[in-house]
Amino acid sequence: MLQKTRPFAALAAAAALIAAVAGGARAEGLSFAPALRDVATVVPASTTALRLPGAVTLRPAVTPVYRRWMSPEIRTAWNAGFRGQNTRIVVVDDFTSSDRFSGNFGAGETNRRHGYWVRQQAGMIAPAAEFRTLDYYSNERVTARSTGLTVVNLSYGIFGRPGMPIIESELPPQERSIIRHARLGTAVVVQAAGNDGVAVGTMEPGGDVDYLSLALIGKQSAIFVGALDRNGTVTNKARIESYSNRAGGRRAVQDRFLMVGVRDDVTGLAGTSFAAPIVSGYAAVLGSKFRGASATQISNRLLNTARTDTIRNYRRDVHGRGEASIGRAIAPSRID
Amino acid sequence: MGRRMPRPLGALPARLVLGAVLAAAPAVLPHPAAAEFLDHSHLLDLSDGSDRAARVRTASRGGYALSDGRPIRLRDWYEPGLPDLTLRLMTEMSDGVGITWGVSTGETGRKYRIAPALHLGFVLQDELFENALLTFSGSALLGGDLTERSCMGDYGEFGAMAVNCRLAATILPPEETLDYLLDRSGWHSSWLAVQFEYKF
Repeated sequence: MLQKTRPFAALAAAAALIAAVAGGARAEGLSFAPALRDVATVVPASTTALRLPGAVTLRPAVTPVYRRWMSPEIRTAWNAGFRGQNTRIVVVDDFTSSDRFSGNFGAGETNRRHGYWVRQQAGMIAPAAEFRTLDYYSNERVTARSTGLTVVNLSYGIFGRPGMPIIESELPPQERSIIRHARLGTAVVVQAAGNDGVAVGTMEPGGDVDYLSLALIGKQSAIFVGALDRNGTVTNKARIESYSNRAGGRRAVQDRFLMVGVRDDVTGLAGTSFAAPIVSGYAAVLGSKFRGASATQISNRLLNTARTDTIRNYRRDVHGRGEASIGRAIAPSRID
Repeated sequence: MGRRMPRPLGALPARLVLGAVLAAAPAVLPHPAAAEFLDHSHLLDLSDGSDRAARVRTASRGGYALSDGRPIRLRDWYEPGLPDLTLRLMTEMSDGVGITWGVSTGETGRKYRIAPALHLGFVLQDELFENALLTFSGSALLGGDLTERSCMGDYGEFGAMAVNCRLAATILPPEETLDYLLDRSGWHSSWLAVQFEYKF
């Protein structure tokens, strides 16, 4: 039986909180710990219904504010008039559990559930996108916009013992709808790569595998996102965070693996959970420029314009396509 | 009430400037008429640039990088071969009444064009009282339209499409950037002015 897990930053954020309580020192070592697994139980549907009666649409802040953890490229996009409009970002995450994490994306330190951090981060990148939040225990299906781009952010995994067949129909209804979007190219599906320091889709140290990742491998509009230690530049190259899962040897993963900087030294929030929302925001930005483009085209553009010259010792089996670059994704390949 | 026409470049009579032009075209005006005409004409303005050329310069600052990092310098597309040159003269028709006239050469860059233009205008002046002058003037531009050409941008997965060369790497959808192509009629550079001058 597959079980949904806590998200890909649970221990990371908890460690930061513990460290802060213990005297303000941030426990970077702990922040690399893998997500908790095999402890989650499915919240009864009735309880879920009471606590989260339906998809919640939050009104995003429209005025973007640049923060130190962001890539400077996004500021350039904003200056050009970007607001991420005409797109929808669906954040499937934990919005109901008692787990709360402390961090600060620049608007002040707060203590909140994982899902709200993820949603805030994506909203800071694409402030004019329409946001929908779905609790990952709600089993509500993800729906795509009839017009305009839909992006689904998954900063969590579904872990189980290896060896089970990957059958879409065996997945919970919510994930089934997500995988279907990735398979048909009706939404960009962005999944955090995971925090076990292993290749995507392989067994983590505890002996489990992420079946959500496995189900997304080879899907036409899926993207896996790993974490770098900074936003790289040619002169100040970024390194992969030791906790971040890697692309690994499978070509199908390498081809759809991106990386972005996760500045936990600035935000107090570590983990690939906070890499995926950046790429989700980028996808929304791109979708607001190329309004007629399909989710597959948007995801491919982000992948094909990723930079490898900003990563130290770039290797395709580690870093996949490279560091996502919104500046390059929105620019033409050739012009005359 | 005494009247006098303004002579912005007062010390330089138009005779010097126009002499060569009219001498090369004796058939256009009979000589006595040409002499009379020149006697009453004065050089008003000889300059390069225009408000439309300035608009191009402002809009074409900077550049951007293509998706593979190659730099695009807008200057390469918006630098004219020869700048827009303007020659304007004033011919005094009677006491306090004059006409202004002249030509602009226009200019062309790879991605824009300012058409040649003809300037036609007037000056009316009256001395209201001692040391006080009231001047009413205007000038119209015939031609001189500024037009910008689009680029063909190749956006990889999204295909090739017409796009405003300057805005190709912004977040605006390529088709919407075409709304911002420079397109300004020379007529919009026409003007009317009232000037009161009192010397004390």
